[in-house]
Amino acid sequence: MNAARSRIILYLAVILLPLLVVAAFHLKTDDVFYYNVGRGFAQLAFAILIMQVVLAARLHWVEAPFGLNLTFPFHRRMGTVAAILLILHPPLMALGGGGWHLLFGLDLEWYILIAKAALLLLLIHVGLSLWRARLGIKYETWRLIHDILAPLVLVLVFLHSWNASEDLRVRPMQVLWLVFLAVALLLFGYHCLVRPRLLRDHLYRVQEVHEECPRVWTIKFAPPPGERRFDFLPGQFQFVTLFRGRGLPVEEHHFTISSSPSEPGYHASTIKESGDFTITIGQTRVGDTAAIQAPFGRFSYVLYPQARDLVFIAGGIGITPLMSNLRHMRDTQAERRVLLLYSNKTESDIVFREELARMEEEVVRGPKLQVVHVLSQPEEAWPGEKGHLDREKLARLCGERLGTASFFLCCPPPLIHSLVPILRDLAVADSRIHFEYFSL
Amino acid sequence: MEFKMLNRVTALVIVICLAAAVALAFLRSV
Repeated sequence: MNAARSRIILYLAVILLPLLVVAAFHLKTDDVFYYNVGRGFAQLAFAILIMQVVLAARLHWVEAPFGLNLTFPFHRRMGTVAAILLILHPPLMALGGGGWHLLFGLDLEWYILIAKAALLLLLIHVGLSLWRARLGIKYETWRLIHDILAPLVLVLVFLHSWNASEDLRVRPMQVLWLVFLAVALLLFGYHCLVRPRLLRDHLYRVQEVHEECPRVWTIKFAPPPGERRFDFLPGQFQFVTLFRGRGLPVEEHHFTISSSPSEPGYHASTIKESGDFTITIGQTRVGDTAAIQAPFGRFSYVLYPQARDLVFIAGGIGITPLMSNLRHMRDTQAERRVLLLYSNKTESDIVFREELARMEEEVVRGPKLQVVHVLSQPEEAWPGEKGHLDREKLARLCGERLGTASFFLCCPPPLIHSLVPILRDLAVADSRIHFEYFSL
Repeated sequence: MEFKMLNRVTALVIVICLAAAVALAFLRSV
């Protein structure tokens, strides 16, 4: 928690730095209140945009205390905050005596016109990020646009403020602005160009491709020759770029690690054919290579050592991080009591069915596992739970565990959105609910 | 739950930033 708090304080300090420098070196102006508010908003927005690069660069030191599952949503929110501050900047300047032609005129200085362009691009940038799925834009297309617009907006905002702002006549502000821009562009270049190249110097090798059940594949990765596999916690995920040739796409995607860190010499992801890229996952072959950046995420029982009684809730392929946790418990003989509620459409969709059954029966020491399969479209003869996971099933199946257990959910977002309020309603404290979305 | 922390942190950052910008603007204007 201390690590998280220190990162938050540091973040705040950096985005407030321009205001502090202005207060220290260029406090007095002849301008009125609204004009100065508009100025302050723009300076804040620039600092926030700089920190957007830091938040998105997947730097371990930055994201580890929170996990990317929180860092990326925070990045999205602060992008919206910066856009709102920049939308308010021109009307406040106009209201404060700058004149309304700032907003509506076109016969303006070049550095005002590029500010208008920057604001328009930023609004497109934020809009595409917030509504990508709704607009039906492919992740890869969005990411390409994002990677072009982000540095462009930064440079345009820099040029505008450098030329337009009275505060940028002061040397400490000039130094701060140059340092900000340099850090952001260098980090952006490292994230987009240098790191991918470094990862390609240490390619993992596909060791095994195994079909778990129809349209679900486990890919095992062996570390580069002479190197150790990276360390990870059960339940974490990785960014993988597969190099398979044969005309198959080369794209970076994040996949949960389904194996346990206790299994030496390799790690594995279990992937369902579902999107444009994953539909090709079964065509991966032994000997193909992969650039891997890992580990990420905090969806791990080992981070909650006080939680001895656990309820795992998996929807479909959401079983994978939970399987990693269960395998780790089995291999380390962790003393835990686990109830797994595993929801699928049909019996043939159940992944790891035999291994889960063995875990239930074989363990003498280590976790005491109970698995309950819930099928929404079962065959007539299915003897188990039928329908969707709902309040009645959760209350009945969890019973007294509702008052004590820690809940780990990995399901599609709609299922998480329906189950979390039910758990709260059943008096499960927020501190005992942990969940992971399929997507970041 | 983690997302509650995210909401709190986001709200805290926004409030502190807005308060700082407005306070500084006031100081610069008087």
